[in-house]
Amino acid sequence: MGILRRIQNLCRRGKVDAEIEDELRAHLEMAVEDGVRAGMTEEEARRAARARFGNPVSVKEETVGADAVLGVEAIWRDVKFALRQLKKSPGYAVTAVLTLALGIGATTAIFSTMNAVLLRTLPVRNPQQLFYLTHENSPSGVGNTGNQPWDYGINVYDRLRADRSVFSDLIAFVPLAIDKTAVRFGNAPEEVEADEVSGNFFSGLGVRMAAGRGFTEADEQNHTQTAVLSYPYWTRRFDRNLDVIGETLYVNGVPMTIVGVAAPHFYGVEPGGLSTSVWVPLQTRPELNAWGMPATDNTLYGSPNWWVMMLIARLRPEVTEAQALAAMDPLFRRAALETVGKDVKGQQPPLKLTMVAARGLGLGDESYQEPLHVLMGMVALVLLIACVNLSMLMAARNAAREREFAMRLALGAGRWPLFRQLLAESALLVGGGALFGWFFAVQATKLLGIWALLQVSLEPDGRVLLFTLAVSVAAAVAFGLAPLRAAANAPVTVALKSGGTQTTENRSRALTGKALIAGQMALCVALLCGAALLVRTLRNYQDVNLGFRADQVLAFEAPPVGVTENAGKLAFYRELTEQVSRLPGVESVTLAGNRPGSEWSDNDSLVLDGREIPWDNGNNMLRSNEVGPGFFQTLGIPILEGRGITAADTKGTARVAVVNETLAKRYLKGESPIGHTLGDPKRPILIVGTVKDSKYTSADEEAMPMAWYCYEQGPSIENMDVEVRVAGDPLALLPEVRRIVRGIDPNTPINDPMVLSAEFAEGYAMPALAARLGAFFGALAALLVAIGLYGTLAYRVNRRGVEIGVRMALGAQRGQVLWMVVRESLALVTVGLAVGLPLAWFGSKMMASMLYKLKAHDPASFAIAAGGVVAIALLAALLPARRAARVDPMRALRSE
Amino acid sequence: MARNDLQGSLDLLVLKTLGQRGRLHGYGIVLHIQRASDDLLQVEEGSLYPALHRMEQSGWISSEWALTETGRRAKYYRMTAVGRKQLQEAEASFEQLVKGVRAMLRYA
Repeated sequence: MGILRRIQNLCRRGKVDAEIEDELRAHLEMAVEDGVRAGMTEEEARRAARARFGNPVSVKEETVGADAVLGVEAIWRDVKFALRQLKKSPGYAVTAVLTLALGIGATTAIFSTMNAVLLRTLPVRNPQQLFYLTHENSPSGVGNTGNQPWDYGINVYDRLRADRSVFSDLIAFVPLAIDKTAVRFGNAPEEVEADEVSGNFFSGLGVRMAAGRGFTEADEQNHTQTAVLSYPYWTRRFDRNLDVIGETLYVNGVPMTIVGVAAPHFYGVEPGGLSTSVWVPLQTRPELNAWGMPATDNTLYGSPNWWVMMLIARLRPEVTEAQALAAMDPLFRRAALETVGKDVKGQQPPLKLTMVAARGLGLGDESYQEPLHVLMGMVALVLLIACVNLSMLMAARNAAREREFAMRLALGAGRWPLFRQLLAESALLVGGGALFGWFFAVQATKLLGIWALLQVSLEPDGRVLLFTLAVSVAAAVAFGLAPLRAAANAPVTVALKSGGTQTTENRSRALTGKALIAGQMALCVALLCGAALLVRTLRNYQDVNLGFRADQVLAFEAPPVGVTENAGKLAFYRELTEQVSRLPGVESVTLAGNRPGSEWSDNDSLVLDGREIPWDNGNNMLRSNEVGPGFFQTLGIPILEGRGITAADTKGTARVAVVNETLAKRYLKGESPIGHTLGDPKRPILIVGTVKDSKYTSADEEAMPMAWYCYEQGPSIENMDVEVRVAGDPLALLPEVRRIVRGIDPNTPINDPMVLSAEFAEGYAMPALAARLGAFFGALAALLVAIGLYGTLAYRVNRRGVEIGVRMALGAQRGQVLWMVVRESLALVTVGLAVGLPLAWFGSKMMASMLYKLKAHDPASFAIAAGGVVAIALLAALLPARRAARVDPMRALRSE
Repeated sequence: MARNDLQGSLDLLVLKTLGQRGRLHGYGIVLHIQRASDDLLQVEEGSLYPALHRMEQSGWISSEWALTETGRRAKYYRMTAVGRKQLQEAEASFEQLVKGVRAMLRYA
């Protein structure tokens, strides 16, 4: 019989009951008849039949039970009963559900983040077959975008994709800008992330199209002016209007026909949590050069030594990662050798093809793995502490209900149904907690995504839901153990005999309670220690002296749309800086090819006075930036000697550079660098000034040789970042800046406006996020432990009222009673510290790579953690201790 | 039959009874087992009905109400095709058990 029938039975309960009664009655009657036939009196026959049959009521109950084997009804009854019980103590229920919601929610949020960052595969066909191609080292003479392991030249790509032995598809994609690309639909210009991609991009990746079509090989061969929109962009910008298909979208001023929309959850394949809004086929037009670089320098198709494409391979179904690498590595070396035209074989260090699975952020896990694992560990500890708290709470509640249980057992209730009812209570609490926790997690992941500067969604998916369910079931079972003890141990006779108050308490139960509290404290010490390390790391980042004053500088990008030649760009930037400098509150304005703090940099070998210093694995690398006049003044970098770049340095005058003191110290033995030259001896660049060291790409970089060139004097002018020193709030200047930019060129958007110090802060967004979460988890754990400790101590003081009364009647002073309670708390904390500090010692080792200017065994962090739990112990003990000290001996004694 | 007997053997006895006798009510099953086993086996009547209902839930037997020879309304059970298969399996495994136990007892 199916479950339907069972449920049906449930609804026809009365009828089924009657049927069973009829059946059993018929049995008894027939037995009586046979007895009478054998010569007994009816009375005797009835008694004999009853004796053989057993208790008809219990037989009936068992038979009914057999009819509802699944016990749907029994479960429903238990749930209803549990609800009634919980309603009687709403404070307890709310506390339990909230604690669980916080614990499960936080765990879910972190797991959801970990899922998105490390585990989630692309929402495409057979995503486990997709791998990014990376490589170790590049052939000498090959330039790249600064993301060397990921970059390939187009000729290498063509060679690799021709070989179909292990790859069923090799897909290429190139961003159209370092950051965002200017697009225009109708009259509204905006900035979006746009990539140019190979023709097999959608088909090879296996992306379903939500509307229209993807690209074809022909789109790539003919460089068709077509575009595919991402679903989120289509939603955000076009309100999912299907009519946009066939319309024109201008990308960097080039008209593109919108031909399709990609599947809803496809954010593109750019590694690192970046999303893509618009895709176009690979292009040859100068406006659409790779990475938005000036086509005068290098082009995607024209410069084989310019490696800028990122590749993603789909492995054939039966091919493993190792097999694919073994097959493709020689091919890659050969292709690299032949397209670059140098002997790569003799290259040191040698080239090597590598692969990174296209899952999570696709970064090969390096930067995020450890922080996420550490945070996951921390949040798991918080959940554990929360669960322990709740099981203690539950045990206390069950202990108070001991008489009720004993009464029910004495009246003939089974231990199993009693246990089931208690389990139903736990399940209800956990279920409620999980539900609220899920909503909490959905909101929290949105915040986490913003804080972590990730563009991909961290929202929980099916895998996360499974995880949450598993955690909840584990929690429910853990609680199930507490009521099991209560139900199994309820001593019928003792509980019924003893009075309402007890002078002594169950020793083993008290010991278990103490052990749990001490265990919580140990976990709390480890958590607080981790939190302290993370927060102190963040402080170290924030305390870094950047070498200039970044908090009064506004930075923004304003790429002149459609202007490709140098003269036009020069005119645009001169006009822009001139107008901005006249705004009220502006102290000075300058330009920079790479925005300081943005982690982008130009890196070359150092050629000093015509002599190239050996590269030595990058140790002698020269960082440089192309800047406008007034750069050092605007940023506030002190000039030590000579002069900075000025407006007098133009295309027509001799090329000049300014260097930092590290360069002077390291390569000129402290001698003044002025008069020395940098770069190609045929076109030397004269050093005219030295400045103090400052941070350039990020707050945590080491001082390294650095040169600044005049942007007007370079071979071509790239898109420049504008830096403005302002007297007041830098961001308040933005509306005026927008007005000026619109006045010069209505197509030009303003990109990434922010205060320069915030740009540097973005560089340590992950440590900052870890510190915030760590502090939150630490505080949560401390609160939970304090509540648990307070509850336990208060309960014990309550139960020991008589004992305390006796002590005081015999002459104990109030101070002694106070100390008695506090001492108990301190004893617990001592045990907690004894276990927790070694735990923290091992735990902190695991997070060593997350720390900045801090040793894993930082004494201050350990001291903070230890002090923290001692403070918790004292605070939590204070109220119960005072209550104990206020016990009135007479009343306490009389109550017994 | 002892109280804590293996449930499987009660199922086996009931199925076998229904296999031999076709349609039968609970009381009849008790009597048949007693008679067929020369009074060696006494079905505890209290545990028979939960077993019958459980077997019906499992689809091994089906039931209907009918009149007895003495004109009393009683619930009659009959074996289903699934039950027949179950009976074969139960018989086979019981034989195995008996063989095994016998071998053990004879082992010197």
